[in-house]
Amino acid sequence: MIDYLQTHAITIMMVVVLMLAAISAMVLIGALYSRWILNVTKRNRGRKKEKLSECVIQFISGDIEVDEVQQIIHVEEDYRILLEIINDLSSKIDGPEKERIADLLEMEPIKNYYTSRFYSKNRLEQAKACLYFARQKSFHYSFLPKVLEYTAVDYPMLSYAAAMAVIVHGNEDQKRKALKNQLLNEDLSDQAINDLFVEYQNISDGELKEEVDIIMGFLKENSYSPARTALLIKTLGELNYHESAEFLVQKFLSIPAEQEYPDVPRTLINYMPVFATSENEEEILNRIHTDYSVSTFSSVREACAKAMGMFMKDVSKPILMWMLYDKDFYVRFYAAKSLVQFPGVELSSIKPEDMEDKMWNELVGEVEMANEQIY
Amino acid sequence: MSKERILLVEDEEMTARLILYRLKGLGYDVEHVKDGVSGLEKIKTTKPDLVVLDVMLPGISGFEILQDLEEDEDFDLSLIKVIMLTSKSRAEDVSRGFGLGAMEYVPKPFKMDEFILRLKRVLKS
Repeated sequence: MIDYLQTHAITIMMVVVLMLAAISAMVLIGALYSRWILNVTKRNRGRKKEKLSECVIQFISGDIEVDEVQQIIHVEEDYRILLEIINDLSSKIDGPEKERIADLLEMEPIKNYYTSRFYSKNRLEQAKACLYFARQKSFHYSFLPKVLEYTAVDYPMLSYAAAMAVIVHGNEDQKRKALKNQLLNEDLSDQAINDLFVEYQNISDGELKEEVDIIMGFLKENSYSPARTALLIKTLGELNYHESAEFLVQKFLSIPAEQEYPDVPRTLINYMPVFATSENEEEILNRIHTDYSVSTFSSVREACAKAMGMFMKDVSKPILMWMLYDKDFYVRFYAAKSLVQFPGVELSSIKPEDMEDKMWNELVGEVEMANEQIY
Repeated sequence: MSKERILLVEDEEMTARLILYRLKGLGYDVEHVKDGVSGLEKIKTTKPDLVVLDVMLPGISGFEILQDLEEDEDFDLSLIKVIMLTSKSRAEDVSRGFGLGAMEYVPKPFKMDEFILRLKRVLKS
């Protein structure tokens, strides 16, 4: 064997080298071919997207009908491109053009595309299907029970998408249940919850009362985390609906002074200057002065400083002066900012005696700059 | 009657396509650029009758374009009408746009019919 190898060493080496060269050549050809295929696919996709984009623009402008759009769509990839175009446009336009886009989504192949994804085991595909249902005009209500189930899953994208679909197509009880499930899902962001409430309001044709009632109902349950409760209070506050004013004031006056988290008192305090009346103002201010301006949470003390600047009652001045000594910069800042709202109060005249000049000058500088930036 | 020349400075493809299609259909002479730097250059060289200017652009923003034009001593910004187009509609941004010389501010999502009405009104003014 060794003799054979020695005798034919050169031949064996040449064979090995040739084999390696052949393998390398195959790999190179394979790579070049793959790259070529990718480029061709990309070019074709680009051309298709160009053609479909023009078509969609003509369609939403009312110059052609759905059939003419459908004539240039042949394979599943074409539908994916179409959906990309639709998604891109949907967020940028409104009115009749947006309605026309919704008509495109009713094409049978698109419906079938999403129905198959709804029944897949992949949560993300299910979520995409639910988002499609939320935009659909002719939604098949047989899907609704399953969609409602999905609002309770842990996967935030799916629960959110399903909730969106229920808010668009469900009855009031179903909408309420879907929203409740999102409020209980701590993995869902505040922005997502906000989007759902915005959609709820849009579907209610701008009828604030329905949204106010549903939020007040959630708050009365006392079932949610402090962060979620604060979000509900903020959403209710921003609606600025008269019926919710008394509710929020009563909530503020009744919650225990000691709280484990600052979210709820801070958010309530922010809205007290908006919702206070001459009858309850004194009681509200009293609570702010005695219970919350001494809170262990700086964010609550900060909210108090801001609120006192909006109430503008002389009785708050000593509290605000005392807050100039607060260990937190923003509490001191808003106390100073609120104090100078009072007639006759100049920043130069309220410097605490034992505060360092540097610290005071920094505070004054920030307050003056903040005042200049108000439009 | 010569066609009014409009320059569209917008990086979002489909939004640009839609606006171009509709404006060309109405008989306007429309040009389109996709970024702030090209937009600024085009405004200075071609001096269009109207600029539809997106705020959020690659390169420099719509605000920065207007700022540059305002500070350019060789360029009279008052000769150009500007409509700002943007997804940002905070009061401070609207104020800033008007302060820099914009005549209209169209927040996205927008209705095409309303956009066209505003555009025609600005062109007439």
